Amino acid sequence: MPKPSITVVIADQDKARRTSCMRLLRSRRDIRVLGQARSGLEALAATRLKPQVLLLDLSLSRGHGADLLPAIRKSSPGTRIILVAGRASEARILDGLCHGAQGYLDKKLLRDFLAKAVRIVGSGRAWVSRKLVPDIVDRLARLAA
Amino acid sequence: MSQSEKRGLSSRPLVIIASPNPELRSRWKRGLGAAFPVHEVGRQADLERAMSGLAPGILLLDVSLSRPGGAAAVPALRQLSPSTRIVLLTALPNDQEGLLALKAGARGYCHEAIAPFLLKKALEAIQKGEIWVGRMLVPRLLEELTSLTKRRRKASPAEPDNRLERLTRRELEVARLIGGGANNKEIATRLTISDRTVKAHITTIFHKLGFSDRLRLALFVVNGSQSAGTHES
Repeated sequence: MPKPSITVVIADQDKARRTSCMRLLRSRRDIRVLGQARSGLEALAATRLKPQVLLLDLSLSRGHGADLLPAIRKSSPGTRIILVAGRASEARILDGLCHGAQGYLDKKLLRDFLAKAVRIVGSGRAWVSRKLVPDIVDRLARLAA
Repeated sequence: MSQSEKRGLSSRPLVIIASPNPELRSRWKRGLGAAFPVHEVGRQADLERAMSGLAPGILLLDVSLSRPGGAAAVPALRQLSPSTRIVLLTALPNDQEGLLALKAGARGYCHEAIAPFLLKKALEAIQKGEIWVGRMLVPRLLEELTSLTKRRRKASPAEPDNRLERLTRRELEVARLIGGGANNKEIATRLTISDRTVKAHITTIFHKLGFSDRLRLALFVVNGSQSAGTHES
């Protein structure tokens, strides 16, 4: 019996990128895109679909500080979030990770790694660069102090 | 700068191999080959002496050597030699201990039977400032980070925010539906009121709460009074 597919929602205000993510994922048998969101509001609303993975353009949370990710997590605790970042500073990515994202992917790497990242994060693991782990640990140590 | 300090800063730092088990020590030593100068210790007292006296670049520590063992040993060892990067090795890796070790300042946590070539790779990465842990520990790290961040926010809210109390019962119903992602049509259907009435409610709600957009309202409702953004930013 085939394994159930990993369900995904794509949240990005850039139409071209939404389309290209759709294309990258649609051909995979083990991944199913449930819907798209064009704004932070739509991304929050899309949690009703309870996707296993939410692809979230980091700029959608701009201006809402640390509120959008916790709200998404609260609305759908089972949804795992992959941030899609452009030239976002490391600090903003780290903030995203502090507020519930389990991975981030640079926009330039979508073509090569999107499906893989979705599978990895969908199965419970994280998708972060090794180079970022010391900063994650550093924040953790400071919070725990 | 002393010889040992120089050695610690160079690309071939002194590695202390600390384990009560001589076979394990020689296995790790073989894995490192000629890449790193090595000093072996088998007992706690010798370890402490070596840490204070030799300023090693890296310590490979078998969790069973110290008492208290495992992650609890890390803080004292870091005090003895703050510049030493500590790697804990254990026969029974578990996430809880790994998390504690990293929080205490260890730079690596792995299985004691790690393949020798991987051990060498790990030390090279750690020398460059990276952290070496099993893949499955990373999601746990992030969960812990998120949970501590949330707790920190709860402990010190910007100000207790009771603005929702300003709303009438009906307005609160509308606000909650917006928090749940409903659009105006859905709200109208759900509450059996007209679309125009929904819009009027929303205008009043925005006015009473001091918001000017729907997302901000939705986040406020979902996050409760713990919203970080209680002002337009």
